[in-house]
Amino acid sequence: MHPGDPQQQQRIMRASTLFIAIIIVGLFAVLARVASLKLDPPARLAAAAGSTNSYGPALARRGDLLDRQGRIIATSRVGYRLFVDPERVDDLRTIAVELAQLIGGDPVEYDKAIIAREESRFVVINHLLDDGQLDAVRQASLPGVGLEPRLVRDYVNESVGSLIIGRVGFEHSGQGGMEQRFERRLERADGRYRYQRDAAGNPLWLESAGYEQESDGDDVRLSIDLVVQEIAERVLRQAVEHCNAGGGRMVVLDTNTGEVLALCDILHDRADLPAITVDKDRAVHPSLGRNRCATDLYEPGSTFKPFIWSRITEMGIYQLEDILATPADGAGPYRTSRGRSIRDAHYYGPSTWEFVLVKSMNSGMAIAAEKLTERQMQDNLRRFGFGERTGSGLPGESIGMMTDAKKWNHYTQTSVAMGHEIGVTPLQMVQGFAAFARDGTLPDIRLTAVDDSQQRVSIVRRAVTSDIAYRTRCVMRKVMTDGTGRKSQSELYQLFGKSGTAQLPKAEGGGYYEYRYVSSFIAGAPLEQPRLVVLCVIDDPDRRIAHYGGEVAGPAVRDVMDEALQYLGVASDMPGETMSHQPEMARIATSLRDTDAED
Amino acid sequence: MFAKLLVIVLSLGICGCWLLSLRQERLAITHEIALSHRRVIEQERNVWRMRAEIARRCSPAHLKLMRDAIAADWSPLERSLPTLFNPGPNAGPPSPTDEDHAPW
Repeated sequence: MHPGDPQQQQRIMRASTLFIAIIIVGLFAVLARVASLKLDPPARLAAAAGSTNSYGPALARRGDLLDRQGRIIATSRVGYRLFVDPERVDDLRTIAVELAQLIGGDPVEYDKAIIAREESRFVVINHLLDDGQLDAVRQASLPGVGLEPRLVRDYVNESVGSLIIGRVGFEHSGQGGMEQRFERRLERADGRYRYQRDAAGNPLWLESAGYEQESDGDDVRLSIDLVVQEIAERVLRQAVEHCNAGGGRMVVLDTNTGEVLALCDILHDRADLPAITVDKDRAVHPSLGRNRCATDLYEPGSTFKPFIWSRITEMGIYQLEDILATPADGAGPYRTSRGRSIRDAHYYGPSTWEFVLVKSMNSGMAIAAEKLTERQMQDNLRRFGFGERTGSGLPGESIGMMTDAKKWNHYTQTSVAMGHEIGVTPLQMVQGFAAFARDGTLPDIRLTAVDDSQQRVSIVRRAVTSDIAYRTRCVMRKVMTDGTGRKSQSELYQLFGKSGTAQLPKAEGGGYYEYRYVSSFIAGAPLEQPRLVVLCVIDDPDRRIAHYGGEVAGPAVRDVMDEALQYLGVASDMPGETMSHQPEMARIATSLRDTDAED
Repeated sequence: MFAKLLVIVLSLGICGCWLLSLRQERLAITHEIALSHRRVIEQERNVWRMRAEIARRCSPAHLKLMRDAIAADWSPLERSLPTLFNPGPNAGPPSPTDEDHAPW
């Protein structure tokens, strides 16, 4: 065979061409098969291929609720739900017993649940496993038994402030309280990822195209201070139980910042007396009820007098030393210019304008109220924020209740001066009263902590001048020393405040109960540089025990004020008094901070 | 010619094997990434759980219980403090009242 033989070369060429053609055809055949498997796989293979492609949830965390010191109030974590896939279980007859051995519980119940939904591939056995149960299930690794992650909301201080905090529902969204109020900031968006897994279900790799990033919610730092809240709840509960009241409400406000440090609302069941209100949601769960500090009105009674008194003083209608013709003992009730009879608890005869407030004289307030026009009286109420929401944003917050200007008459004019014929919320009361504790301006009521980095521009609304605010404060100090607040005096701080006792209106309308009351007390301290305002409202105290605001609510306000101010490290302003250990600790902490800053 | 074809086919084969091994490596890496992703998620969930547990154990109520359980003597912390109206012996110049009662 000659190498240059053209026939030989032709044969080689043909063989090569054939070889290449076979390879090319083979490659195309493989490509066609791949395309066929991809585009139109046989049913048997399609089932297997589909099952290897799974989606997994990328759980996002709901934001935490923190108190103003940064302590966690509510946080989210992942819990696990135990389910059974009957199709993959080895032996359905024994699985219930095996599960009961692992996580406890009744095997009969488990068996019933599995049999009832045998066709389903997701039979929930336990909605939330504890750590021990989870470890046991993981170690046992039973076929057909699965764990599904789910978010769980932990309320770290369950006993404190549950009504303010609220709860989350099944979808982990806020249901009431702060959880609902700050839903937008707290809410999260779950993501998901797609992954390929092998026949055993183990993930092989993530599909980049199928990945959706989760988005965590933001934390919210509340104005509530857990320690102050605990103090307020404890003291209020004691006060309510002591006088066998139907309920009680308390608000603690930081006068400098307008932060609400504590917000309590208690309903008390009594065997021998009727309930004061019905809250069906609260019966379902304590944290689901309405927050009566924002939603339910009450008549403030004499605690309302300082608002009218200060305005009349500011307008120069009466000076502190001016004498008013209030009736003397034995002269009977005072009669207004329109003949309305105004009763006082005691009759002192002609009294100074200052004495009128110190002794809470209805007659004196009625005399002064008649000097104001109806318009002036209405404007005055609005100056202190009554008739509008405080801006707290709490669900269902009420604007209060004021008589319409068209229906406003002489009777209304004198009633409002005594704190009757007007309905306010406890939040409105502390906001208005805080004007006296500040420079006469109303604070913005805040449920979130003040952040120094925030450059907030707030429009300050002035209720009275700073001079009048201070003078009113000083007269209310005399209420504590010489008036109706004597039983509520503090040994540590100079409180200024006012008591109030109003008749309880009938829930169904049509007037007031004759012997049922709403007793309240509102006070601020310390006198010169007020830091806190505390309001306590006792609903329907048992009259056989006590019912005056100064007796029932006053001591509770004093106790909360003493404990809270000490906790906040506020120095005593009583001559000769010393501090307990808590301010000492606060001082040490401050000095340490200062040292750190210097370093 | 045959030799050339053989070289081409072998080269293609080697290239194919190399590509396959690269692909396998890539799959192994993506698998490792998937496992790491799982571990990260698991760790993150552990952190959430521990965060809740720490918060529970550091709550004011729990700390109070712990303090009571220790039953230690807290009296050194409860000493009197100088205050606004009771500034203490070395806090400033003596007041007229102090001078009145001075032995000299």
